[in-house]
Amino acid sequence: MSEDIREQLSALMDGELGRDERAFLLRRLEHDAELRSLWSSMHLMRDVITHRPGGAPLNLADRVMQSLAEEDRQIAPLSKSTSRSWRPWLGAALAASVAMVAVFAVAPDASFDSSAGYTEVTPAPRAALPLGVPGPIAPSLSNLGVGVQPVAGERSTIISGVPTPITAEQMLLMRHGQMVDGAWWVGGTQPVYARPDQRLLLPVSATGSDRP
Amino acid sequence: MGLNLRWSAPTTRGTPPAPRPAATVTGVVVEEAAIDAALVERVQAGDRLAFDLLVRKYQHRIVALIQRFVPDWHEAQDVAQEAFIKAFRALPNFRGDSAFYTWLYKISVNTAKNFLVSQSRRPPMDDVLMDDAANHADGRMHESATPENEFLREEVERTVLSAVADLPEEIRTALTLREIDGLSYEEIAQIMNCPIGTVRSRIFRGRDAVDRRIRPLVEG
Repeated sequence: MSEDIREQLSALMDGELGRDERAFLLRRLEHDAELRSLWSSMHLMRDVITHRPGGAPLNLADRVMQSLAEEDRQIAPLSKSTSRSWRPWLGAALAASVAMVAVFAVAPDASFDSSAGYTEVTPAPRAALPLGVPGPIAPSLSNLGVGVQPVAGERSTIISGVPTPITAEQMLLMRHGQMVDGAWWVGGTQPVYARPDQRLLLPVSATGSDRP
Repeated sequence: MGLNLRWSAPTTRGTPPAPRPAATVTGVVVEEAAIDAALVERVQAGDRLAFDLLVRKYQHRIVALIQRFVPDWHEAQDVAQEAFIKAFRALPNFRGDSAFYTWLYKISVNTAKNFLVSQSRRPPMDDVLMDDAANHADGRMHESATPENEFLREEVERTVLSAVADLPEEIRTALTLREIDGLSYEEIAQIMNCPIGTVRSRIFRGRDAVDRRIRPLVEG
């Protein structure tokens, strides 16, 4: 430890170092135990000279830092085990996500009737299905004759936490979805608006190329 | 303690300093607060060793303060340790509305009182005043200090004062103007009619000489 550094430390405790010098020295102190020891000694000296209450030399700093390190060591495994306890749920969520992707991939565009202009579709009420019983993802989907079989026991409820059947319309919107002025844009010239009453105006074609 | 440094202050070149005015004392406090603020900022940024420096700086004062509630030397150290740990945990919420030492002082007093309650001992009704705690000479260990600790404390005190008295006059003058009269380097330079760099060097050399004398006691 050079004399210059020690002199800087002396100036630091008097508040006589510039901002940059101070920052440099504080960084240096992080790695220099001897310099920290000198810091302690100089403050003990100051306390004695100024008749401040003092005592025998202490190693309280070491005890405090050891105690903090010990606390950290105790907390670290705890946080690890906490994260482990979430793993099954994360796995379930991941499985549900995979199921969702599979559903989207299976839903064919041809399932929509292109013979009629706009079809007004009202999503079926959210019926409470018993857990673990395979059922249709959404009544509207089954009505459209889509042969999608959800994975047993893994309805969409797993993802959201509440029963949220996914309609064929929603699938389509999500697959091709683009929002234009607050509405899902599915192609063609007319966006499809989701109204507050959950009634959707469904285009007759997934491509929308033949809409008026 | 035979040596009273308060009366050994400057007799060399230049005008002898006036008795320490309150404003200068406040200036020292402000400087200390600025250093503390810089250290606190570093702790809040994740630099744990900056907290180590704060502990090293205040450990003696805090232990002495706690001993006014918890006279036993070992218990006081335990309580002080707990107080510092509490302070560290609470530092992220410290916004610097008060000086760090004021904040630490309150934590220490509360920790000491809680300790007494946990031991079914009654905490004192009246709080130790801030100035009283910072300057009260009676805060030193007394009845419950072990003889070894008391001897060591006296030995350190005697060694420090003796080492200061043994310093060359110009160095001792600069050091005492700083530590006892609380003058800035600039003020000391004016009084001693020398450059600020010389003041800085003299003060350091004084501290370095004292450090070499007390180091065996501190590390022993």
